[in-house]
Amino acid sequence: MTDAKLLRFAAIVVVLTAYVFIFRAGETRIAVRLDENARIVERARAGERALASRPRLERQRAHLRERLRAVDLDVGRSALVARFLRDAARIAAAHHATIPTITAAGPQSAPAAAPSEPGDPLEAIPLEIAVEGRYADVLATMRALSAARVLAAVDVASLARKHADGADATITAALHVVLERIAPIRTTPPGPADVRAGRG
Amino acid sequence: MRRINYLPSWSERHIGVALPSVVAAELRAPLAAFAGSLALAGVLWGMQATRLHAAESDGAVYAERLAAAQPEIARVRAIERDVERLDALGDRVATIRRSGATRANEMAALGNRLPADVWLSSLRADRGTLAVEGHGARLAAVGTAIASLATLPPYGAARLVAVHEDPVRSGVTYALALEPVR
Repeated sequence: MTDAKLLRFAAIVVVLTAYVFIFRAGETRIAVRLDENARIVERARAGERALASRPRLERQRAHLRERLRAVDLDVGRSALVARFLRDAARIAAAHHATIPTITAAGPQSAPAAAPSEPGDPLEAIPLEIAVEGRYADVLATMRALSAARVLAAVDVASLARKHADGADATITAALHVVLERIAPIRTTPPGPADVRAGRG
Repeated sequence: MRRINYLPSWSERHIGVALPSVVAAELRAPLAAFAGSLALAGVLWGMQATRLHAAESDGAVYAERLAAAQPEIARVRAIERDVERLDALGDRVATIRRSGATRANEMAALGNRLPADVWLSSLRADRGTLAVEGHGARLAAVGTAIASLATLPPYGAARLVAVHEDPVRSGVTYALALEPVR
């Protein structure tokens, strides 16, 4: 091969090498960098949108808190039950019904009132309530019990005439009532090892 | 035979001095091409390096802006989560507060659907099924009651459990089961 041919060949090799290793490789790196920039810009835009929505979110939060103030959710367990009993007596009297029995359903230990699922914000206090009165009055009492300040889920277990012979129109309704309140944040009790460490 | 080039060289024409030629004439064009290719490679490298540097600078500026806004964005995200939690809680509270009215309306609808000569004695809920017992003036009236209760909204079917002639009063006693929609 003559020198001229060698030089021409070298020129071609340099051009091809430059294309592959400088232009193509550079394009790949630039494209990766531009993609990354686009992602950052998109995140920044999403952040700007979030910041712009802050006043709306704060209004919405205030509105939701206001809605939740219609019920007593942050009351202690005993105070909640006491308040429900007062409400139930008032409601029954207002609707010409009577409540002969209220019994707590399930075991009366604290774990019975624990949330049914982890992460459930509400803890349940189940009660069985008997309501007596005329059909319409019993139904009105049911409606009012669940709409009171104490949050109570009301369901019918049974409903029957008090006197099977139909002597009067008094109905006895057995209701499942579940009082709900915000579950307190539980801290893990110290284990035996912790107790020993505390004594030591 | 020796060939003589009488054409004056470029240097001789322009500066009047005949400089000795470093590169042979036949190598000039290939050498120029080689030099051109090197120059092209250099220009390409410079261009790509400049573009990459510009992209990196832009990225750094964007990242800096994003990092500066991050604490405020985190606070807004916390409010968003709070709103979602309160919204879910609000929905649940609303459902619970409607529960008594919903069940009472179902019971009222059940009573309203019964024909005039059929009476309700008791009903009992068991895992979604509602057991209904009562008294009817005639057997046909119980049939009318079944047809009517079969279309009661939360239930899909009314199943006859038993009908007996009432030994105490005139007419029949009946037992039905309303089964939920599956």
